[in-house]
Amino acid sequence: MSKIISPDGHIGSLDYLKSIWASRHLATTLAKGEIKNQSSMNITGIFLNIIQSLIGLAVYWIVFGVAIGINTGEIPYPIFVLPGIFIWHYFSAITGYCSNCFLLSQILIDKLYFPRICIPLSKVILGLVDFTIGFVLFVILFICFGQSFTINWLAFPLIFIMIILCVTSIGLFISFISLFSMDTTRIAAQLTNFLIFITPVFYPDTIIPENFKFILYINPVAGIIEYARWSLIGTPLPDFKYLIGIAFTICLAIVIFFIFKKYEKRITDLM
Amino acid sequence: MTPETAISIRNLSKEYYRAEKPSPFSRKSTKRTGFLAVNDISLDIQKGEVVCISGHNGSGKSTLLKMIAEVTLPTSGEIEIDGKVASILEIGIGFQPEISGYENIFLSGAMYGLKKSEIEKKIDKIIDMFGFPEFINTPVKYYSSGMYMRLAFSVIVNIEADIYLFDEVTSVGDTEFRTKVTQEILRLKSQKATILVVTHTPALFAKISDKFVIFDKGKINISKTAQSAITNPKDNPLHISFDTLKQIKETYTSEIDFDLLEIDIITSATELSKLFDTNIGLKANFKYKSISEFTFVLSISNQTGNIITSASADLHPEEADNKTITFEIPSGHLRPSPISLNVDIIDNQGKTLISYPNIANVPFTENIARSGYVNIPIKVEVE
Repeated sequence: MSKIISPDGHIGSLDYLKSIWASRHLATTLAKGEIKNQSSMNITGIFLNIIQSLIGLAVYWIVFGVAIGINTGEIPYPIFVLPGIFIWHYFSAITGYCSNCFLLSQILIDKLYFPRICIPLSKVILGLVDFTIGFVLFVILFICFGQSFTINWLAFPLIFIMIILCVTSIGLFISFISLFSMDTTRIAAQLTNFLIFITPVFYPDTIIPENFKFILYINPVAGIIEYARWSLIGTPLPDFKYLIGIAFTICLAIVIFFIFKKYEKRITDLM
Repeated sequence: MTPETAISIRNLSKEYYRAEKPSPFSRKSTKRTGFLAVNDISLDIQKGEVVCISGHNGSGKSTLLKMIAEVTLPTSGEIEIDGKVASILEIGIGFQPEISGYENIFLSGAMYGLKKSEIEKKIDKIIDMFGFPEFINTPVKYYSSGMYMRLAFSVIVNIEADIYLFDEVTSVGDTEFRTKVTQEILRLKSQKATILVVTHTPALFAKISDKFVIFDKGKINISKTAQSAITNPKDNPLHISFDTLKQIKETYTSEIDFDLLEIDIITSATELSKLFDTNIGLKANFKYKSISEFTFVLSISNQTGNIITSASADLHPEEADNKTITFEIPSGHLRPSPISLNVDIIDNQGKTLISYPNIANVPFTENIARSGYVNIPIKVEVE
């Protein structure tokens, strides 16, 4: 069972997949450690988290639902906006976490070898906590507002897988970029601040004029939010053109897998 | 590579780049000059061997370990490894301060590639070795640094790897911790583990190592004994030249009317190879120049920096250029252990004007039957 370390650092695709699978425990343990490290993540932390979401929701409701009066049809505005918020929040959180995850673990990377991909992956797991809280909050409000569950809910697991895939590939991509530029953290923060406006988070895609809609179609997060709304709150089935963004995500996932496979052993030297 | 070989290194090199970044507004482009941290080395390590690696800072010791640990890739050459590697390039790496010792055991274990079930099997042994079971549920940020290191070390030695890499583990912690490290290395050795230790104090491992590797500017020298590892033939530790002494004095900005010119140390055995003698004596000659009245204090400290003993002499201002002051410890009063000499110059108000800490290191090698620092007559009767 001898192994050879050579300058090319080559790993077979299957071996790499296996090593990622074998280190899932490390990724979850890293995420767990980090959850506990953020003191806000104990019981009061979860409570604060819910309060924060509710305040955010109230602000959006007042600004977009009442003041601007965005028309969401028969669906109450809070129910409409929540799926958009918790999915978007997941994306922006992962973008933030992944843009400096290697930098923050530099000491660790410099001293110990483990599949490097575990570091961004642990951030994906970490973000799942907020996502779950948001989802539960949504279900509670959904019932409170007297909405009824439809058969479309059965499609949500599939959409959830899409969310994870999309978040993971974007997170990995950003973490990889961050190896080359120290400015990634700031650029990523600016981009997420801006991109929220060209993603149907606060508004239904119907208010976007037809000739600008292509921006939404190539935006993978827009597609995911639209499909999630279709599944959870029964908005009409989104235009199939949204699949462009989703196909783009899948391509990115495959490309980023091979990039990580190639650079896995070189990450220390790149930093 | 025979079945008995644990690590086989063939023509291994690692090149690093020294990038000199100009200021962001200058038009010069970034200059990149390469240097070989490890330069074409070949080395075979057999299973069950303890290898002690030493050398100056930047000579490539840690780079070699990093390459074996797969932290960084070689530039050329190959390493073939047979067995599971546990690399301890730093103790306590990856611990999360906010979570308890118990949870950190799992985190640390996961980093070394252990499954949850495997850690659960060993958890009692790890806690037992840690030695503070009452603190195991306390967040590690409240641990003393000693406890922190003990916990980390307990996890490491329970990984059950075939090959262990230790980098400077003995440069941290107290004497007790160091003794524990040495004991554990011996225990691992008895279990046929292969161990690579990088250290600045090869004398500590003289008894347990099978092979000594001395790094010098990326190249290696292999020897079977500790003497050559300790005493680099290029720099004689027993002669300190004016250049070194001048550098220390230059760190003081104030004007001091004292100059230490040269130090020569003569041990009871004048040859370095006899540094392993148990009955040692020491004579230190200091050449100096002084135009004021000072007190010259020589103190002898052990490896941990504790002063074993000291002596002083009053210096009188003299016009002569080269004065010599000699301190002598007659043979039979010191126990063999690595010692350092420190010189302090004190003025007549009792203020330290200049100090030369660890100015000379005499690498006497410890003898397990005669451990300790000074000889105190002890009557032993065997019936």
